[in-house]
Amino acid sequence: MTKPGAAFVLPVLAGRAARFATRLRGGGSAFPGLVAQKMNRDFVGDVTEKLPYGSIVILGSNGKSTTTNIITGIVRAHGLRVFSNPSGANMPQGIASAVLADVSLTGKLDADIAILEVDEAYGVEICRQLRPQSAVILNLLVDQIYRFGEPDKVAQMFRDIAGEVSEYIALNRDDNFLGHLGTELEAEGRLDVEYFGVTDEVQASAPHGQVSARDFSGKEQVTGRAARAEVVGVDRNIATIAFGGVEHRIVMPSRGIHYAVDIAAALSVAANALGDRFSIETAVEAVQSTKTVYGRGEILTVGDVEIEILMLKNLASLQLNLDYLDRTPDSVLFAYDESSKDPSWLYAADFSKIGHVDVISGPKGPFVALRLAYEGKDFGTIIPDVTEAVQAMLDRPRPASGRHTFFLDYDQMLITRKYLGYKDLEAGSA
Amino acid sequence: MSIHIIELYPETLSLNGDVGNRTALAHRARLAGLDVIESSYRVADDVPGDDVDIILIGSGTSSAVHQIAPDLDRIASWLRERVADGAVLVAAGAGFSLMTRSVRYATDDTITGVGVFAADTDASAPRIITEGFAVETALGLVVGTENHTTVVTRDAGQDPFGSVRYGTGNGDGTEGAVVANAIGTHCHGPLLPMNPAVTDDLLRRVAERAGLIYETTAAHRDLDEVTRQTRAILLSKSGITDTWS
Repeated sequence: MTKPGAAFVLPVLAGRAARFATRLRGGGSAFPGLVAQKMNRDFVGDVTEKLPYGSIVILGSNGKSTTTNIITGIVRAHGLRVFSNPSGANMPQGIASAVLADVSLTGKLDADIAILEVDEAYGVEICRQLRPQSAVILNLLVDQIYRFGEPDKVAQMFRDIAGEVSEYIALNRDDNFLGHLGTELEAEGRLDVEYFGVTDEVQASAPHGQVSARDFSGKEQVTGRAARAEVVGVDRNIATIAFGGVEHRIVMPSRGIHYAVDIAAALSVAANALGDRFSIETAVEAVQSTKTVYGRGEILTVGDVEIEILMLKNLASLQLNLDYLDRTPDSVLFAYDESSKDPSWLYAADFSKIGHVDVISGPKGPFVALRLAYEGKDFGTIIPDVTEAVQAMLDRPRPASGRHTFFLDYDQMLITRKYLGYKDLEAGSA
Repeated sequence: MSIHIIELYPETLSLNGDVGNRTALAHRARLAGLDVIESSYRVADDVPGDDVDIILIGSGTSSAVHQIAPDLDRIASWLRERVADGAVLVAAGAGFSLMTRSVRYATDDTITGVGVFAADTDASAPRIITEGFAVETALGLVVGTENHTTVVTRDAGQDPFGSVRYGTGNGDGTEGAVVANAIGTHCHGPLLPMNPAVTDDLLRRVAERAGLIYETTAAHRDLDEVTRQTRAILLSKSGITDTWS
């Protein structure tokens, strides 16, 4: 480029104009990014390659938003300026739109590092543009079968994405598919491969483990790998994580082995990115002061009751959130929607931690009702509209526990938060 | 006298909540006052005994199919004998493929099936996903979801499970296969919770064979009210009105 910045002025201006127009219409957030990319295909990569600490991508079936949020918190606590995508805006145009919102006319981001969650199916396309130094892959779960066909396809996506990363990758040692990916990447020798994980005892103590997808390839799992960050204990929302051999007690933003693993992943990748600047004490403090991402174990207060929001995006998220309930919830709402095209997986879930459900909602709510009915459990009443369902819950007498437990599909979560007056909505994946 | 349900390879062929077929059969049988024994068969287990009333096999990935194929060979004759003897078999997805004579993944990759159904499966077709899969059968409209990469070619004498109202099924306008009390289908949802007419029909056959009586109750009708709503949701994707009454 002869004139630095010239490649940016027009795309940024055009994208901003599109952004202004879509805001007026109340439209989505992805379109402006599309406009900027149409004018400069390398827009995202050209902007992020100027960042002194480069970029990190966060991948996995579940936990991307939570982990991105935790890594961001850790890195900021170390004094760096972070550019990140809003939770859920993890497809190419969503990321370009996020860049557009923050970039100067000459293509400069006011940041030291980019920390971005990335959708697995678009990961290769995004990483080709972004050219990230580092990646972390959290898990490979049975997820969106209607979209991906089979987990083996997702494993191939992760393999292809790893091919676009230039320096470092952190993998979940205890995930069936990712353990094998690590073996392959180590043999290839191009990337610095590191692992995070849980001890055998922790894995065994989890009622359904990490609900990882099974790998039937017949390849031997490598055992005894060292993990930079290893979860050695999980008790409700208290995790004990050994980092570099020293144990740290961490109060997590929510409960469960899945949160502990996300934190171990975040510590590993942040330590690598920060190098000598990294302090585990600063990092642990940052994790403990991180708030939950919207709707992922988040607790909202409405009048004199609390509402805990747990996700039911797929079997793994529902099962892990059920497994780590700290008691049988006494006031329960389920809202299930179109994000699951094929609800068959509900029958694979173990609902034994639930005694009854009070209200079922969402466009596909009856599938949850039928599943519970076949378990012989009282599913309460079906109220299709989620705002009416939420109001019906609030109109009930205050539960003895003082807390309603809401299991919400993604879109139902967004609508519910908005209805309850939490307007700081995330961008959505549109 | 109990009804014995056995699920084959529950951890391996269980990609789409296939255990729901077992849940539906066991729950409805128990609601009708029948005793139910549930068991599982896994790779390298002893070949099960002959006293089995219902055999279930579910859906899975191609790698899962390759993993269990050598073991399935061990129990293939036991399976054929049970079906010939009038036991109920419900085979869904990959389970259905494995109950045909052969499953072809690529030119040099064909797995020998059990051959319960006189048909062959080509499992190398482009992926088909139909959210509101609908099939007209002898037991009325069957509703669920299909998600597979197979084309099933039946012999002239092999009856299909039904004719496709919406979706792809076998690829020739028909769906699945039936022989004696065995059903093979691409339908999940799973099949049996979503289609109580099929579940009840199978349980009546099992009960009759065992000298028992299967009669539905008010509790069954409560379940069916919810089922009706789930069917309507899927059928709305396909513009079809439910004819199940």
